Amino acid sequence: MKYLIASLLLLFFWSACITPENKSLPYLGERRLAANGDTIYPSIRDFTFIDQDSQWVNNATFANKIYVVDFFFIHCPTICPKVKANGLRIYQKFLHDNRIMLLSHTIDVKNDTIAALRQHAEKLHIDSQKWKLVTGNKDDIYSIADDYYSIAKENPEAPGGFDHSGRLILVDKNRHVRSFCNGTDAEDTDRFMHDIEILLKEQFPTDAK
Amino acid sequence: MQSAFVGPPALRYFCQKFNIMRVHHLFWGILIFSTAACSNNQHIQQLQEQTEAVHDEAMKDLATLNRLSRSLKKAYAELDSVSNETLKAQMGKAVEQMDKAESEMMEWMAQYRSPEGKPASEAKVYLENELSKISKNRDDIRNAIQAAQALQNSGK
Repeated sequence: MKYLIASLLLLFFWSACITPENKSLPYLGERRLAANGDTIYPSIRDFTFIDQDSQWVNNATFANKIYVVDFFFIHCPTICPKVKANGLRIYQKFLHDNRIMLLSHTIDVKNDTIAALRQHAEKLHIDSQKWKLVTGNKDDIYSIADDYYSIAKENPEAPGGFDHSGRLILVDKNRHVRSFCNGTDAEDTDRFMHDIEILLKEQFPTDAK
Repeated sequence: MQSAFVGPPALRYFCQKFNIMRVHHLFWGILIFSTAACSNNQHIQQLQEQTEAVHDEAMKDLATLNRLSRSLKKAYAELDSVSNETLKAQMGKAVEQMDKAESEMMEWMAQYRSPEGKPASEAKVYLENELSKISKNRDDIRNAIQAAQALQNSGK
C-alpha cells in the first residue's frame, strides 16, 4: 500500500512537471465565426512605420517570426524604464534566436524623432535588426495601439486601448495576439518569457533554432 | 564643565568647543536635527510620488483623447463645409484643444527630471512647481476630452 501511494505521488509530481511544457497558448481577443463555420481570431492589421535606422518597418519585417510589442516614450519618468529593463531581459535571452523580434512604438512622435530613437537604441546597446524602435503618424500609432490593447487585456469587458500600463504583448507569425504581461513586473515577465518558448515550439516545431 | 561628561575625549572636546553643557543636550540636538532632515526627505519623496502619480493618471487618458481626436477629424472631413460652418469650426477648435493638451504632456515629460542629488530646499521648490504644472495638464486633458465628448454627443 505504501509503495502504491508513493508511486501515485511520484506520478502526480511527474505529470505536474511536464504539463507546462505541453501547454499551448490561447488565441486572445473576441473570436467570431466565418460563414463557412471556421473560427476567426482577431489579428493585427497592416502597418507601416519607420525605425531608428530610417528603414521602413511593416508586417513583412516580421514575416515568419513571432514578435514582442510595446508602446513607450523616451522621456517617460515612471513606467517605461522598468518596461525597458524587462524588455532588455527578453532581448538578451533571445538575442541569437532569429525567429523572434521586438517592436517598440513611441507615442511621443514630436520628441522621439528618428535621431532620438537611434540615440536611445545606442544607449541600450540594441541591434536594430532585432529590436525595432519605430515612429510614424501619431494617429496611426494610437490606432494600432488600440488594436493590440483591445485584444490583450485583463478584463474582457474593459474598453481597451493604450492605457500606459507598460504591457508587453506577444504576437505570433500569423499576427494573432497569444500572450501579454505587465512589463513593469519582473516575475510576470519571467512567465511571459516562458510563454515565448511555448509559442516558438508551437510555431516552429521542426526548427532546432 | 568637564565633570558633566562621561565618554571619549573626542566627544568631550567637541562639546567643550561648541559650549554644549551636557552630553544629553548633544544627543537631543542630533535627534532633533536628524528627525527634521528625515521629515524633510519624506516630504520630498511624497511630493515626487504625487507628481509622478498625477502624470501616470493623466497618461491613461491619452488613448481616449486621441480616439476622440481621430473620430472628430474623420467627422470633420465628411461634413459639408457650407451648411456646417459653425459645427466644423467647433470641431476644429476641439481637436486643437486636444492636440495642445497632449503636446503639453509630451513637453512636460521631456523636461521633467527626478531631483535626486539636489539640496532639499531646491528639490522641494522644483517638485512643487512640477506638481502644479502636471496637475494643470491633467485637468486640461480632462477638459479637452469633455469638450470633445459634448460636441460628439450634440451631433448624435
